[in-house]
Amino acid sequence: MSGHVYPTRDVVPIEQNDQTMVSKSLVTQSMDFTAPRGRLEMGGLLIGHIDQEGTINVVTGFFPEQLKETPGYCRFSGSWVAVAASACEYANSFSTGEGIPELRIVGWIHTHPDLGLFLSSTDVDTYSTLRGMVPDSKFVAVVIDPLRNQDGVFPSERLPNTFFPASGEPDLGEGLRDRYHHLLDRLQEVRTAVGTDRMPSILPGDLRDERLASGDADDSVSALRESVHFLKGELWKTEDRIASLEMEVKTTKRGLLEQIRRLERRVISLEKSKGHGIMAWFTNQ
Amino acid sequence: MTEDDVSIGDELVIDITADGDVPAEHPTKTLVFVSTFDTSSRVEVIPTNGQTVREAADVSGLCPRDGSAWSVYDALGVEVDHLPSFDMIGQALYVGPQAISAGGKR
Repeated sequence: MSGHVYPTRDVVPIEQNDQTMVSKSLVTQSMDFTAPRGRLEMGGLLIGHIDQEGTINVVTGFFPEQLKETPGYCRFSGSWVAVAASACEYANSFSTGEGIPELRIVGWIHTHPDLGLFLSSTDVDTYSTLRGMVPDSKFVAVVIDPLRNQDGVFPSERLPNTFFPASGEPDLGEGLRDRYHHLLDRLQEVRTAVGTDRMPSILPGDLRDERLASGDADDSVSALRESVHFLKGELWKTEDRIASLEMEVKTTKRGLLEQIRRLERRVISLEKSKGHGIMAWFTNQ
Repeated sequence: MTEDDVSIGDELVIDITADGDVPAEHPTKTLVFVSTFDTSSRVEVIPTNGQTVREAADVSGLCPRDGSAWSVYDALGVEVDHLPSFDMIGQALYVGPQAISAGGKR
């Protein structure tokens, strides 16, 4: 599969990296969830496994509460890394069959709303720090631009303009799938304990249908639905404002026409009086 | 103790001098530090008097060595850096970054 070239920046397209598989569903859910936030950036964690070929498989993730979020910056607490690690440990205690890979934090995702795909100097520093904490250095960064509908998987912090689009679909055996469900169960429990404000989105990736069937909320669709209602409200407000402006224009137009008519009458009157004056002068000669 | 030592109706006598299963060494109470990015990496640290959890984590070798800010959290994500290490014996603790930042501004 060939890489993408987005026209707004000098990017280096690369082939799909054999060492990394990022679920397309997961990225789509991330886009859907973050797009309604407009230009505010947001960051989250990606959870997956390393398969027997050594490929990083990015399967699920979540967006926690942000400590800071602006149109050019976002930050979330490192405590969420502990929550994710603990949930992975919990999930790994199930389906302990041989050859089933362990779940772990395998990446970090953040948005660049309407900014395009690249790693900024802040991103490069963070990526380098996080990779330094991973014993085998298997870690990826995913950047999405939900307003331009673009996504990029950055395999290395040393190549801040080199990426490929997420296009994978994880191959999950029964035991591994079972582990992911336990992971998502645990994340849901955490969210119930801390509240939706602190953990606004859990991304089930390709397990979405199964999770919805088991009663999980669909955070991405909910966010989109809320944004549609918000936009509807804004549309109505705009329509009201346009109607009010139209009334103002009509009133102003009426007033102007009245003034024009008055001025025309005045001009005619002046012309008449001017004519009378000339006639009177000739008469007197 | 053998069957010969005990007969029905006799008082049960326990010979404390008899040989038995004696542990080779006393069990040691430790803190368990877990790498947040690879939970199979676990390091046990024996706490010492007056030591904080952060100081114990430093001994574990799981902390970043590039000077980046880090903290120790419990399984619920509560920061426990400054607690006495003795208070956290038996718990799995996670060493991770203090915060994760990103920014689209170049």
